[in-house]
Amino acid sequence: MQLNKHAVCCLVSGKMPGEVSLNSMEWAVITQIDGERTVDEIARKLTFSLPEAMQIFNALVEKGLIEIIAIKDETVKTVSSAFFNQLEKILVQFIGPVATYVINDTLLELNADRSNYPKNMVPELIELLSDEISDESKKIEFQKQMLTLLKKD
Amino acid sequence: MPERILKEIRNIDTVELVAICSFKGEIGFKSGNMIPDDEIRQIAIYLLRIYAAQKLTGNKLLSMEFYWNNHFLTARFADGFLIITVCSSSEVLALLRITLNVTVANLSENKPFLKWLKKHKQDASKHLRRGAFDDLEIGLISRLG
Repeated sequence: MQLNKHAVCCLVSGKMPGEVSLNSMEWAVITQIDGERTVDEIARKLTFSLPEAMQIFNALVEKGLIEIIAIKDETVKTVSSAFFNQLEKILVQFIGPVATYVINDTLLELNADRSNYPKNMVPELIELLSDEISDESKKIEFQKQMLTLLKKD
Repeated sequence: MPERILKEIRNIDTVELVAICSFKGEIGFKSGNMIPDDEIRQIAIYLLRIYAAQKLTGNKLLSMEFYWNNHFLTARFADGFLIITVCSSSEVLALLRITLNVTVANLSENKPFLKWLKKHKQDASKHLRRGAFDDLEIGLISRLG
């Protein structure tokens, strides 16, 4: 198995490596390896950049301290078109008919489109769209309605 | 009722602690035990000092986010209280910010909460007054240019 951001590692057992020395970053990674989290998840937890984390994981594999046990499913869940229709319907109530254009512009800003927008990135989209509502109480009302929609979806 | 509102935040993935503190630094409502109460109070006071110092310079601080002890600590300020949350993943921060905005709005209409808040009213600037700092803090301040 090739090490990538979706790789899951565990500590090598039943094998005693020779004397090894670890730097503080390698030690930080070792403390997070649990046989469940991916390289990417551990990198985020430790606020390492992905290339930085990959380098550390590679070093630990080479030292014989960790091994790759699985590659997690890489498919990203995306939101449905019905969600975007509903979002548009709600946003129209707050900013009027420009809502469609605002949503499209914001998606463009995020380098995404309606057909492949990841589900876990919806809160970021809501935050950006909220900024288009100048009235503070209306902004909160929009966020309230969006949270309800998120729970349903 | 405020407990139910706290549960909404606690239900967010990786959120390990939520605490509502008054501007006195006292914990009113809490969900999660990852930090002892004394430490939460101390954190609240530090955050309130930053809030008060910013207010003195004419900036109204709404929220702060820190990386702390391998966790993400968020402070959301509102009139007379602050909500401290601790989570272990940065991926939920956007959802957390939205939820906190809605929570603050809901709490502002919650009678039991408003009753509690009235009892614990205090100006955050009190945490900046002479005598409010401990020896360690006085030592650090004395080293400032």
